[in-house]
Amino acid sequence: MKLQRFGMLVVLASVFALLVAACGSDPTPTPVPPTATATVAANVPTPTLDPWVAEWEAMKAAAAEEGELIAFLCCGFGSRIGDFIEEGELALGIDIVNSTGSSSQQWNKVKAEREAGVYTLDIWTGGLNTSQNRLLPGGALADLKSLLVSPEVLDESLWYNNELFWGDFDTQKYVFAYGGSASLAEITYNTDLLDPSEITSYADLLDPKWKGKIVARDPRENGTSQSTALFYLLMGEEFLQKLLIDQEVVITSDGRQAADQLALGKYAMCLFACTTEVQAAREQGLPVQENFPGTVTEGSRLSTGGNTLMAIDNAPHPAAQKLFVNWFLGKEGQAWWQRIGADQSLRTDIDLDGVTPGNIRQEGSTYLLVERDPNFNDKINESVAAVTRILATR
Amino acid sequence: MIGIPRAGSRKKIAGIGLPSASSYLMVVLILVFGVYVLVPVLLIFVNSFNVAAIGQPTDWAIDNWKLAFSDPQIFIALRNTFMIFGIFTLVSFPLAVLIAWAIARTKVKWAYGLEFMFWVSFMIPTISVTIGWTFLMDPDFGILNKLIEYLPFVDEGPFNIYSVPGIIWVHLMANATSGKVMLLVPAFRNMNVSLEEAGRVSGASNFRTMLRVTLPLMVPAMTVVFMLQLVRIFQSFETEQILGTPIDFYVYSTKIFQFIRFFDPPNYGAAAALASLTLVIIAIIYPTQRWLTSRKSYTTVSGSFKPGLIDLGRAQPFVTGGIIFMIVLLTILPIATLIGGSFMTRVGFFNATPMFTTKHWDLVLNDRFFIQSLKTTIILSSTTAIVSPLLFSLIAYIFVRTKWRGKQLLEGIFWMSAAVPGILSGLGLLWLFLGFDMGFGRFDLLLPLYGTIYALIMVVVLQGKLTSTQLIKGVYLQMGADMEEAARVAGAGWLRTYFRIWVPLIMPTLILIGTLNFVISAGATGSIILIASRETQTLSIFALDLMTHNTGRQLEAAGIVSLFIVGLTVVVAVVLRRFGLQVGVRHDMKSSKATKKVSAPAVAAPATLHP
Repeated sequence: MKLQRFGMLVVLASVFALLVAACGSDPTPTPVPPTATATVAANVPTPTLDPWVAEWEAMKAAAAEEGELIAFLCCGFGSRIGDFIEEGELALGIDIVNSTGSSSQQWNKVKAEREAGVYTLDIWTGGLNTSQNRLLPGGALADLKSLLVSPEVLDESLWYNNELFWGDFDTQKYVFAYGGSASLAEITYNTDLLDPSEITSYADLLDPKWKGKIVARDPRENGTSQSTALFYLLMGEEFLQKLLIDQEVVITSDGRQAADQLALGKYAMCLFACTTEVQAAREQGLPVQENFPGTVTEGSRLSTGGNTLMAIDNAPHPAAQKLFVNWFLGKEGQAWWQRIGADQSLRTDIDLDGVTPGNIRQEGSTYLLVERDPNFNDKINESVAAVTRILATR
Repeated sequence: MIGIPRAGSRKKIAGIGLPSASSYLMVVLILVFGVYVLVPVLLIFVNSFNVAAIGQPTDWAIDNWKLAFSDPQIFIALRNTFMIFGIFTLVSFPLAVLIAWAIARTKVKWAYGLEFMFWVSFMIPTISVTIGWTFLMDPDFGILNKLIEYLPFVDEGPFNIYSVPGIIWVHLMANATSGKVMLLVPAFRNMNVSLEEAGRVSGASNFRTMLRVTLPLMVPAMTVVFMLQLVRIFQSFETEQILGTPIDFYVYSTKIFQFIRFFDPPNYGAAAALASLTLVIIAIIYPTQRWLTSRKSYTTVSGSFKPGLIDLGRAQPFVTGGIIFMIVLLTILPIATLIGGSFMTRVGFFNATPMFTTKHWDLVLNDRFFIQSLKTTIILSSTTAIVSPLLFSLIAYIFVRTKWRGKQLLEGIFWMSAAVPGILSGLGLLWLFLGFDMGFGRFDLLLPLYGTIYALIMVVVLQGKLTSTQLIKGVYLQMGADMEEAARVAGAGWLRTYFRIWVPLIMPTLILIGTLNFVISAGATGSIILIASRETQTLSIFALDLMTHNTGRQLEAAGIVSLFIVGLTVVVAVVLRRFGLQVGVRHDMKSSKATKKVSAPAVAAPATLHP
């Protein structure tokens, strides 16, 4: 009798699991909130030329046929990425599915899929080094320039320095940089323990009073390497040696842990890409600050911060891909992106709503444009190698 | 040992013996598991010799291996790994054995409830435990240190979580202890009390009886638990990563991880080269455990099995109290931290503004993918909880109770599945599902499954294969063949015997395997993240996304997802245990109720054994 009950349970459970599995493989589109629809109606790009209106509508119709866009929206999208996706879906009339995983995992997936002749991704946003080290040499990118047809995207006068910044320096058509935040100094700090006026140059970090009072994210890791490279290029290897060894900088692989310890007052400063985590802690009312109020004598830099757009070739949804890139780089798309994140767009015709004050470019200021050096990627590798050598002596 | 008669019989055609049905079955099993387990491992290791840059033609060289082993810190990290493993094993193993013995062999109060709390402890993610203890034992700000500093004669709190003892402590509090208790209790329940009574009649105390009678008979189970832990020595890294990096303390697994984190693109080749050391461990473990488990009989459950429990007398309340104290440390404290932290603006910070909030719950519950992830997790984990005990009990049966040729090879294949850490095995599985070039053609048999939930089901069901088969194997070694033989003599076929004799007898272990595999599949990340999509992502991947969020680690929100996973597992475990107690044979009946010896015919009809 009990055996029968057991068998029955197994059968019932299996049937249930299969039924739910069958339902699970059919994703249901998210219902569109009626209030948001009205917003979209008002926000539809206002074309200046009739042919563009017709083309836009034709692009929307073609994309609607495909129904969805698969994107990997990495980096500069804030905690409200869901709001951004929802707004994009309403504006474009398609589902936007944000692919899961880290940048490395996503690349592994794309690379293996391509070798098997499988193509599942349309769009990739991410750091310049990702495109330089993986997507470009892997031949995974489509000619984005040829997809851009929106007049307001192609109008160079609407972008910083009156130019479109292509991250593929030789070819100028695959990697479009749309983010350009000012970065006054690569220092985040505890407001109770550090008076920003005490630091006017990175050389001040070597003051003995900061010995043991600096925490840093691991400067060898992918997410911190641009910041590492900046210190290396501006200050040299000897400076890094003194900083990391003599000043007994405490290294952690976890940005949240670094921000926690900064907020607890265990350390006065956090170096190497602590901004995101420290910003979160500041917003939670803790005595930390990611916006260094002054400038250092070595200069401030302009950073794309992982905000570049790429179109994947052999896209499963080519019409949706074309529609998205023209909307996203346009005034409305960039305004939404800026509003939900913290970085500033390289577009100059949108207000600064949502941009963290420290990230705002100052009129008339000159910035270090290290990422525009075609050899910057090599310099990153060089700086990481130098830091690895230094840390091996600890 | 007996075989399956019908499967083992051989037919002859024109005087030539044809392979038996059992031979065909073994060939199928070896082929299926061989491809599934060995191909990803081989692909990972073969590709570690490909040093070509992305987009360049294949270039075979040993550069990755040279790079991996040229780091002088590697050997220090290796030494650290064995030191950490050695110390926490020296503490946790005897402790877990004592607790398992007390729960399973003595008349301790609320035995099943106490045992269940160790299961709950096992379900709590290691990272939550690590962070929880960090806030308690930080040398400068730890709550425990601060409380102790209030004492008049103490100037400085004694605890420092950022230390080797701190790392060991967190391991003990995570699942080093609870995991062993969870795995050992079912084996201890299979103890024949008449053997222990014989020990006591000879004048031995309860403790001496445990040492001289009970523990020697538990060698298969303890060996399995130890070996399963040893084979994963290079895989655990979260605790060392969080607590070791600030003090420049590295273990082998963090070094493997560094080749993925420090290189762009990640150097999987060098990581695989380092991971290859696990093959040496497997080469030692496999023959050792075979030798240990086959050199003598460990049968405790036979036709003359007599269930019963030991009365510890006046010591009983102290034992119960000790176990409850451990449960408070291992289960109550981390769960309370998870729940409390989920309502704090920032866990551990009482000066955040506001201090308490429900926004983390809003973030999780209003996420458009939460319900989808919950549904996928329920499907995957429920399927695993049902299929894996049945599948792996049959395979373990082959390992222990048949003389089929090839069973050692099959068991070796199972051990090989531990050869690469999760972060690399996920890549291997991606290659397996998408297909690969074999030189003479492309293997793409599994390509149709790619992108579907069936690929995920396959991965999670098979994920616990090594642990499951080895645990059930340990229990089969405790079972005498006489009951099966009696049933067969009485005319029962193999299948009937299996379901009427074996399944009820090993039911506690099957329930454990079902729950364990539910936990493993609900918590799977590395193995499935590359083959999951947004539509098929699980709660664990959802939590991982929160941990690597663009605006910083959403620890509190990830903790909420962990609570859902723990809650789901608790429900499943309760249902399975209730069901198992009804269908299975209870081996722990109190002496007063179980004085009559169980005869073979009675065991053949297990329903009569119920208390």
